Amino acid sequence: MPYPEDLSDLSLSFWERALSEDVCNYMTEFVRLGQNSSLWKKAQTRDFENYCGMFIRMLGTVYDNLKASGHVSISGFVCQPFYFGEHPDLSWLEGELQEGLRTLIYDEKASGNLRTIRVLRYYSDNVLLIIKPNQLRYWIRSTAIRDADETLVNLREQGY
Amino acid sequence: MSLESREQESFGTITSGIDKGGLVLKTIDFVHRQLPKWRDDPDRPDERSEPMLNPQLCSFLDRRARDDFPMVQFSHEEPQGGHRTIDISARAIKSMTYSAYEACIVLECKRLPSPSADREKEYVTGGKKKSGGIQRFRLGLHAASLQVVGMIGYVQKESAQHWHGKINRWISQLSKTTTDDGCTWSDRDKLGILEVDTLRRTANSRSDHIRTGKSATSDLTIHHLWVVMHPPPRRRSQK
Repeated sequence: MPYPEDLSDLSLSFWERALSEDVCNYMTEFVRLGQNSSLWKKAQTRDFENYCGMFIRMLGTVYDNLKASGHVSISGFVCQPFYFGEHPDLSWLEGELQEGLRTLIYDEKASGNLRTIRVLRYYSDNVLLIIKPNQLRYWIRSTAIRDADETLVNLREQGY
Repeated sequence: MSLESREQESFGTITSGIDKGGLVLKTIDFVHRQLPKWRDDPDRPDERSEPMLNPQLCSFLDRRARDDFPMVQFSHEEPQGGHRTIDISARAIKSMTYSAYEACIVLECKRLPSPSADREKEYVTGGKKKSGGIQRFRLGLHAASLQVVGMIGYVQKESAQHWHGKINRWISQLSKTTTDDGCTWSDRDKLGILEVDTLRRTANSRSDHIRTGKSATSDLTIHHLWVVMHPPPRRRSQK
C-alpha cells in the first residue's frame, strides 16, 4: 500500500494514533498467536488506566465533569465505574452481584456453539458502569473509543 | 470450539450530574470558539462569497474537531429534503451507530450584509422564495426534527451591534404586516441580548420561535454565532 515517506504527514489525531498502535501492538500478535496472545490474558491495572484515560479524553470533550472511579473485579468480569460531577457512593458494587452479572453478560442458551458476550452499560443517578469480561481485548484503548461512542448514543437518547 | 459474538446493552438512565442537551450546546460552543481561529488562519484563502466561505469553515471545523472535539464530525451541504441542503451539519460519530446518519445540530450560514439589495433581509426571510435563514428553520424546511439549531453570520460590513439592531427592526416590521413567506412574525421572534467579544471580534445571541409547517418539534431555538470578517479599523498612532 502507498504510504508517505515522512510519517508526520499522516497527521494522526490522538485517537487515530491509539487505533494504529492497538493494531500494531495487539492485532498483529493475535494474528500470529490467536488465543495465546496477550489480548486473551487478564487486563492489568495499567490497562484500565489507559482505557479510562481514552474514554474520558473522548467523551469528556462533551461532558467535561466526567471522571473514573477505581474498577471492581467480580469473578471474571470487571465493572468500571464512571461518574459525572460529585463522587458517588459505590459501596453497593461490593454486594452479591456476581451471579446476576454472569447471566447478563454471557448468553449461552441460544446455541451450544455460539456464546454471546454482552457489554453492559448501566446508568443510575450520575453513575455509568461499564461491565465486561476481564480479558485485555475488552479494555484496550480502541474499545474505549467504541464504548465512548456507544455511550454518547445512549446519553443522546436520554436527552443529554 | 465455540464462536463468540459481541452485543451491547444498556439499562437505566442518568438523572443527575449533567445538563440536558449537553452535546448540542457543547457543539455550539465549540463552533463559536473556532470562528475567530478560522478567520485568522494565515493559510485561509481570502474569500467573500458564501459558497466559498461555507466549505472553508466546515473543513476547518472538522479538522479542529478531530483533536479537540473528537466525538463530533462536521459535514457540508447535507440534503434536507427536496433540493435543499443545509450549509454545515454536525453529527456524533465514530462507529456504526444510527447517529452516524443523524445530525445533532445544523448550521445555516449568511453574509451580513446580503450580497444584493433584493436579498437584503435574507438572514430573516426570503419572502416567497423561502430562502431566509430564520424563515427556513421556522417552516421546517431545514432541520425539521431538531429543536436547537445554529446560524452563522459572516459580518462583512458594519458591526455585530449594527446587524443585531437591524435584524430586530426587520422582525418588528414583519410583525406589523401580512407576509407571503409562510411565517407569522411577532416581537417574540426577535434576537435576544447580543454578547460581543471585542477581543476575538465575535458575537452571539439566541432567539426562540414557534414553528409552522411540518416539523417534529413546535419549539425552535436558534443560536446566532457571528464573526466579524473585515479587518479591524487601524488605530491612530500617538505621537
